[in-house]
Amino acid sequence: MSVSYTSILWNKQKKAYDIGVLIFVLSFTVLFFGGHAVLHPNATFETVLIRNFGLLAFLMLHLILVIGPLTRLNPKFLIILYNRRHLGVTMFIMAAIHGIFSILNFHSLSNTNPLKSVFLSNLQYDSLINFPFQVLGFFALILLALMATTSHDFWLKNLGPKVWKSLHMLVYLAYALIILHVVLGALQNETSPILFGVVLLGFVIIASLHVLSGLKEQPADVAIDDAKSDFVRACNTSEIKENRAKIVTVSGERVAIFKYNGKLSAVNNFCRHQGGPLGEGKIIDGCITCPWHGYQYRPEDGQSPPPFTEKVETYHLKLEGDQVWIDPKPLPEGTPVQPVTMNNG
Amino acid sequence: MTDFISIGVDAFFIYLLIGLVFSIWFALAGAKKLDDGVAGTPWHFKLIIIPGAMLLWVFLLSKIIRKR
Repeated sequence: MSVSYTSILWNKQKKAYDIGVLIFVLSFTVLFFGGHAVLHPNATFETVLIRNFGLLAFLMLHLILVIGPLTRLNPKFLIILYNRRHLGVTMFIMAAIHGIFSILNFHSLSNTNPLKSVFLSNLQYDSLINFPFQVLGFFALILLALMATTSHDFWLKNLGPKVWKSLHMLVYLAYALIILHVVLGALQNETSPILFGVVLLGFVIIASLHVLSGLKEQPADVAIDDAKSDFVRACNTSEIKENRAKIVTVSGERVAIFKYNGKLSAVNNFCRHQGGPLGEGKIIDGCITCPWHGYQYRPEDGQSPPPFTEKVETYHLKLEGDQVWIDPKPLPEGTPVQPVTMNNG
Repeated sequence: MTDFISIGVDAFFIYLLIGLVFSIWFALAGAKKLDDGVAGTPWHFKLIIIPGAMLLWVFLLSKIIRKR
């Protein structure tokens, strides 16, 4: 969390993460070039380079897409989520190298503007087999560029969490375009079914993990209120572990009800940093701590401790015996709410 | 169709060109008007917001105008 911005807030974990990514990229590239030298000695340097960075970007995109569901299924995977932004930016750089070298290699030798040539060199837009697949890759690259260039807290704050999140959900559209780019490209150049099988396998893995994590989270997403309700029953106090939260959905928003020091407080579940699930975090040093990157909020007013300025919505709670009731109407971000005190602590 | 694509690509280039000019101004002066946290930031931070500003200049410009 920072008051003023810098390009990258380095820490030990981020450095280790980035070194890991760099080692992966370098090892893959060395192995890929080495493999090509043995198996396809006639392939040109440009061809191998284009294939290498295209495949690297494709693999990294798969990893990026499975990180979210994997962490929801098992918190042990949080370690690979920690610096997902840098993984995304690296993936974009790989894709950009693939795209730029493809345009230079295939579209810069005529008098036509190379970018226009991408769209005009093959006009069989009405054919499935001969569709100009490079166009799909181009649009995917634009989407990836939008996401990579806005992967910074400055953009999250100034675009707003909802716009930023919507923008970054375009990764699924980019994935669809890339799948079509790869499959249609392969249809024109490949005879082996292996590539199609691998692409299908990747899709099945991504789709299955999303469905499984969705099923796991489904109970929390069932709204416990209707539009007219005042206080609604959320849970029993015994359902919440000490210094942890129970996530419920009210007014279409996920809310985390925390239990700590014999008290209960409720805040919006959406961390203002990168949208992490606050309710899956715990109370550390008196503050709700996001499991993704450690951003902190005070449970009683949803504000980050000074000098930080992030705020989340708070909610009124009440206790009836052992039952926790919540007012579904969110209070403005950072509004102090007296915590509910439990008699049995 | 060829003309349509050609005009589209030209429009894209013009959009990016305006975006480039805007993004340099935005990094040097405009971002401060939008966000107090930008004041006093190092040059490398200003450098990394240029590509995003280049792509999203219409959104940012409208936001700055609305803020005024």
